[in-house]
Amino acid sequence: MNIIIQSLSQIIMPFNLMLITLGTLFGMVCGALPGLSSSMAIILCLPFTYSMDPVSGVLLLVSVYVGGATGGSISAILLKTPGTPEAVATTFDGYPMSQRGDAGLALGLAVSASSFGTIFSAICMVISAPLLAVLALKFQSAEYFALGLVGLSCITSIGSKNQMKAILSVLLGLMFSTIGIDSINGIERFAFKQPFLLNGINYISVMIGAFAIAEVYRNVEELSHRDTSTVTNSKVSLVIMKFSEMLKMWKTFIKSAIIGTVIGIIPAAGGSIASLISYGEAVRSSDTPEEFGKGIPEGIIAPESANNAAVGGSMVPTMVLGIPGSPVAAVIMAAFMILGLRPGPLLIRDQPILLNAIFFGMLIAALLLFVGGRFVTREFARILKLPYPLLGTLIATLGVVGAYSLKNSFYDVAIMFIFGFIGYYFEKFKYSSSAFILGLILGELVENSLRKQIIIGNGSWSGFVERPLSLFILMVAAITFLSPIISKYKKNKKAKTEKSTH
Amino acid sequence: MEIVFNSIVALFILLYMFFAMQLGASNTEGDIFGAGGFPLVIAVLGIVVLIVITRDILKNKKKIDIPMFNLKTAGGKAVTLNVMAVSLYVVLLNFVGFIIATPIFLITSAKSMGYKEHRALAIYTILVSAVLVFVFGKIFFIPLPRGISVFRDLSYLIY
Repeated sequence: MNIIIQSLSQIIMPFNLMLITLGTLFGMVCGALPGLSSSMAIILCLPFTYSMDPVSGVLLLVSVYVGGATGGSISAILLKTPGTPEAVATTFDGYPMSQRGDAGLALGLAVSASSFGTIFSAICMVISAPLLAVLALKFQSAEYFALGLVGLSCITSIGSKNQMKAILSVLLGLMFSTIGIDSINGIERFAFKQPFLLNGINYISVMIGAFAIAEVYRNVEELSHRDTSTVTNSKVSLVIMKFSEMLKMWKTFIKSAIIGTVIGIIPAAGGSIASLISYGEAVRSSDTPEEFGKGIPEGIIAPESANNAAVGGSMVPTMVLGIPGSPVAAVIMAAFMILGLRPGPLLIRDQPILLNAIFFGMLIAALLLFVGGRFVTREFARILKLPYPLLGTLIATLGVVGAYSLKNSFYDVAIMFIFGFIGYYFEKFKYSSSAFILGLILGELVENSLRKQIIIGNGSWSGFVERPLSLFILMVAAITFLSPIISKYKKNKKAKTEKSTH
Repeated sequence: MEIVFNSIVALFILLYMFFAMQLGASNTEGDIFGAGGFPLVIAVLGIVVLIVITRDILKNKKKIDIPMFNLKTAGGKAVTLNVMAVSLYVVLLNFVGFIIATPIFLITSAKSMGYKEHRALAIYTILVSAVLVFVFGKIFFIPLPRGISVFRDLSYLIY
């Protein structure tokens, strides 16, 4: 109790409250701008923490992390350009909802879900940090492979209009994910001795091209049929969900937050994988899986709740074991060391105030998301008032900056440009860019963990089914993949029967 | 048109398959897949799915309108011009850098989409270029493209 009071007294200091507020806002702005990731935002804040006491420094960085994980959804929803990798899955339903004229609702759902995910994971972190960290270390290649399959299995729902084309899209994404050096044998694959291909194709450039640039092309061809105003509700204000509305979707909120926290804890998984897997699970458990991809609230809540829950989750192994749960957590771990703290089992014993201070800091940052979200959204939405020729050029310019700033390389810009075409033709022929991106992101995880598990089993596949956790996750993946196919088959059969009786 | 698209996809998958077969077996004990195994599996699956899709296309002949590069239509012209503006921008960035290429792109691209308010476009171009250079170049220290020779030197004066 004494520790909690001491932690609270640290948090309510005006200086610390100001740091949390500024950090959350700064994180949201950086997250919303394509090309600036959460890790970059934290790195930019790092020098300011050198002269601070450890609690203040860590509070600033954690609130930037929370804000960044939420900010990515703003540009994903309004511009179809995810500001951060964690917001990829938010685009699937956020943008269609925004196009329908419900951008404010989409943003409100994203902020509410992000806030819930942050609070949930903060509570998990403080209650069960040591236990969760030990459990996470039980995850081996078989479980990683099964998790990857859960993420991929939602393709039959994303591409419910044409499931075969969605499957081919994901296979093409998987093919592109194999470009580069094979991480098990060190063999160069499909790189044709081009140095820029050795590290593989960066999915951010692909995403910007296939989503944002392709969308610009599509809008440009439509401009000839209408005036040049942007097709959206020019007045966008955040619609905050009522508690009663949240209760109606409590299952999605809680399930996604649990998935996000657990995946956040697993070292090297991170928020983007958490959001994709959570999206897949939301599709699987939905009564209307065919509505996903058309702008359904659960399609925004699931990824946003999960990617923010991954923030708290990733802090668990970082603090308890000294193993960063995500690339951003790795930067925060470096900051811990700069501030004179040694992450590891002794940290919680020696610095109990710090853990509680981070917990309270995350709670305040989660609440501030509503205030910051309202402000950042209002300012960001102003650009939607621009006529489309101006907005379209701005999206293309931000896309170029976003792709270039990944590695300061023109190759990434060229990849973005090429995938602009591919995304355009994919949409015309009803292929699924979202499924393609899923394959590209999860391909490495699926292939490497599949092969590693088989190597561990000395060529045997039995490890996948002998490990109970792996078997359970594999079954979830199978159900997620097959249920939309079966329901479509049943629907078609019913329609045929009705037709023949009439 | 879709048949042409599918043929390109088929060609891509076949080439991918061909190169995957060249990768050979693994030296690591137990690695039954090797570097080429997984690519080969997904390529075979890809071909099977593509055959099913193509069979469906041939069965239900549906005409899909693709305006891109169809210069006979207004939409086709606009999108072709825009593609050219984006490609010009990507090329120009390499030579003249961000400060000069961006205003050129903003003007040509907006004009290609039929925007006619010259004064608004001029203000917008200056404002957006300045804000992007300030935010990305000065505040966040993103090394925006600088171009070559004199353009490179010029960029160092600004960011």
